[in-house]
Amino acid sequence: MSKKKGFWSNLFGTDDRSSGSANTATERLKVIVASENRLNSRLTSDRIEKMKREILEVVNKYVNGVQIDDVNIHHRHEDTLDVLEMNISLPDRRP
Amino acid sequence: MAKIVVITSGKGGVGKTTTSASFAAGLALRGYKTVVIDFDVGLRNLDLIMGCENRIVYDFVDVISGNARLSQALVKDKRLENLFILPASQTRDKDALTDEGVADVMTELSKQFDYIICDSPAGIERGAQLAMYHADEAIIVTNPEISSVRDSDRIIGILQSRTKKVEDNAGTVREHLVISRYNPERAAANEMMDIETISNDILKVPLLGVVPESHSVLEASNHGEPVIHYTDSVAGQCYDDIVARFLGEERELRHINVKKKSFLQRWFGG
Repeated sequence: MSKKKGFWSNLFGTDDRSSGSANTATERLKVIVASENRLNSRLTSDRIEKMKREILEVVNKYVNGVQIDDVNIHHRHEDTLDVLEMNISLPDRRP
Repeated sequence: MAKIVVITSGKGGVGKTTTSASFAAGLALRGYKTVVIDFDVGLRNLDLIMGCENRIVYDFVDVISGNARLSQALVKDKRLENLFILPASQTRDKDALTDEGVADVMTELSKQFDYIICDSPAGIERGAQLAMYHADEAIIVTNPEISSVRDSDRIIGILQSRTKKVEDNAGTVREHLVISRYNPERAAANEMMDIETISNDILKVPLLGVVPESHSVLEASNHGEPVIHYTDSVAGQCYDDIVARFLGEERELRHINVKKKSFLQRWFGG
């Protein structure tokens, strides 16, 4: 908002920072950036490794004997899509 | 081995080519053998900004398709002995740049130059990704304006995941931020996001420099000269600082504070 300052505010140099729109832009951008979360960098190999361990923990609550090597996570880009593929091989069913 | 630097932004019209031209010229002025490559196939502009549009015989695509040798396509800068331009093709479609072709050209140029500057096309598509793929460092050019900053954020995400360095597990691309078309008066009036906010709060990329809105940028482009040669101009001095900081020199930011109005100017609303 850029309107000409009035005579008095001009004379006394009143600072009306609060009327500027820069703060609005900043707040809007912070929300956008946080939600887009640097789309392509959200899954670093460290984080995938951590996710693997957590998934393994959950799976082992229901199935016994799944090893960390049985959990395969693959992260790839397909044109505009980010794809996360997960493949867990279960141990042989005991009779 | 050359150091490869991509100049990128996501959004168009923010000053990538202006920055590429001045940054490359600045490195050459300091004695580094430098080549600047226009990746904007179909919409080349770097040649105009560098003032070499009349001396182009072959281009990047000719080299990749085998119509010309690299040495035939490189155009020597009109001022600087150690600065070369590899122009983009104006006629071919952008799929003419193949991954292998670009990789071969990069390898060849790496043997001959100290710095390879890649002027990226706008967008986040193939052309932009090819321009950044081989980079060791990236200069992200952004304007203090909401859509430009958001696009920069997108491009940073891609820089962090789809480059050769990252794919080879050879580290990350070092990022630098250049804010161009900055208007200190409007930022002081809180009408424009300020430098700190963009660099530290939102993009979280170290600031390499700020170039205020300056009419000398247009004037320099009219003449086909990188604005860094206009040593009296604000933009020229800011680009010189940018090159110096890139090379490790400490330099204070300048031309970013509002000039104090005199008592009389304020009185009469000047």
